[in-house]
Amino acid sequence: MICDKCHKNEANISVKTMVNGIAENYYLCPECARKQGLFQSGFGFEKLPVSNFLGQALFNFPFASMSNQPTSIGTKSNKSVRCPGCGQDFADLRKTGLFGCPECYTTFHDLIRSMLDQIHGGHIHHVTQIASADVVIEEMKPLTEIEKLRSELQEKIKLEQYEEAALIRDKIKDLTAAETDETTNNSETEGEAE
Amino acid sequence: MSWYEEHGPDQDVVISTRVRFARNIKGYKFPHLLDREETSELINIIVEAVQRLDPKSFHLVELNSLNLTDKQSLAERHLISPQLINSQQNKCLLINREEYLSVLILDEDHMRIQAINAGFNPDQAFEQAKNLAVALESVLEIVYDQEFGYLAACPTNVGTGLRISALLHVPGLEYLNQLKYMIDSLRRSGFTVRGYYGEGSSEQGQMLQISNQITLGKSDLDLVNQFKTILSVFIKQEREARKHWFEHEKIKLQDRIYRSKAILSNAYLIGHEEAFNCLSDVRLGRALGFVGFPDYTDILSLIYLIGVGSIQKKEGQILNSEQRDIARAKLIKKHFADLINN
Repeated sequence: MICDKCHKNEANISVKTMVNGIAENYYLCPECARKQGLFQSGFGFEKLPVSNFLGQALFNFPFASMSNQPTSIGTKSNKSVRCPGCGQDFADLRKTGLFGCPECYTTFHDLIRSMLDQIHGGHIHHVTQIASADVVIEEMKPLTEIEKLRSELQEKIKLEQYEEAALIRDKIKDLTAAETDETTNNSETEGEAE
Repeated sequence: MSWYEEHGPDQDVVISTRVRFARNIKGYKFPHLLDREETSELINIIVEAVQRLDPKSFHLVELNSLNLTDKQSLAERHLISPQLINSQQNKCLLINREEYLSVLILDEDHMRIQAINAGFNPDQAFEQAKNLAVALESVLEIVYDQEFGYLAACPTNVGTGLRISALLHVPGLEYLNQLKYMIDSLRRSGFTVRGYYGEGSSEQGQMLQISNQITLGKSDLDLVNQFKTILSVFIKQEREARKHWFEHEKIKLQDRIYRSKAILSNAYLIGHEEAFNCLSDVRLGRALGFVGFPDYTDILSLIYLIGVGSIQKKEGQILNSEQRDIARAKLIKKHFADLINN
């Protein structure tokens, strides 16, 4: 059979697609199948199983460093270990290419070390938590009561609900007054301390 | 205004820069093992946390409630991965008004916190995504391990959970057959190279997505800086290639670019692949400073509009392949006419 796309090469891949509920059937050569993305010429992906191909490849990689570790997961004696957090065993991880839960990182610790060595080029220690985190929290802190009221006020004004707006405005006034009192009190205390 | 309607640095070569962090919440299995109840519980926790931080700007999109066209349209704008279009699991996207900041909930990890910017802007994208990641960490219990860092469902994401990527327009390197060599050397230095639509799409053609492979063993800031260094070399090479091309085969180059413009301005039927390639040529014309060519922002908007999903979304109905080609040609033609009249 000739490829439906290039009309040149021998087709050996059958592609069934469902676009807008209409099922279509194509025959493609490997070259055209490779080139075919989801967004070209109306070809769609078939539903993919829950898995991660790269992860899968890694879980199935024969780790050299592991063969001489009798306690590692890949060896026979350890294959039946199940993670207490999610009940997954090594075979499950191989199938999906994904860990089941955060606890897997403890359960399969040795395996993970070898695996991460492969992926991350020997860097198996996480270096820092997020850099300069403290600066950032400031910028994104949750809205204070007053800020919330202010945005509500703007909303009401936009909607021309002036009566409700007036109520909110008064609330803001009260809160601001209370806050100013507090700051004044604080600065007074500080003054005394000095 | 959406992020893709704005200008950014090095836009002649880089279309957009994206940074995302993978984060998971304590006490829950990874998404593929969650049952229905846990799924909705976790969605609620995350949505509430994000909306508590910033109640005004984020809105929630439940992917299950969208039709195929809407989902395709989101994927065509790189807001979700193409694989998610056919997913049956309940996944959600929280997205801000300008669409540059989003949190994808229950994809491979509990959260994918993502920022996308026009042009080559790793610092800004990093800052935006990190701000949100850090803020969320202050209100949610995130899984963090002393040895491995941020834990993720896939071992390729563990550590910083950071993935930084840029979408590049590289017609010059492609024309001079330099792309294969560049891609090989990038891969050797720990970078992933993919086609325009990311995972699974072809790496041939004039648009490439480059991202870091390593997420562990370096600080996130180091990863960003390394990415910047490598990409600046790539950008410079592409500019050199274009210059060389223009100096040595000016007529051929002009012919190709003006032909593509003519096709876009006059066609009555145009498939996605052809339109995409012509827009790529027109983008090159704009970068070379040719007169009467649309701006980068207009071209990117058009690239988003001509996708299979976006075309149908715009037309408000489901179309077959030929109807799509007609609608696409009409849309592009109108855009080009408007640009010339302005």
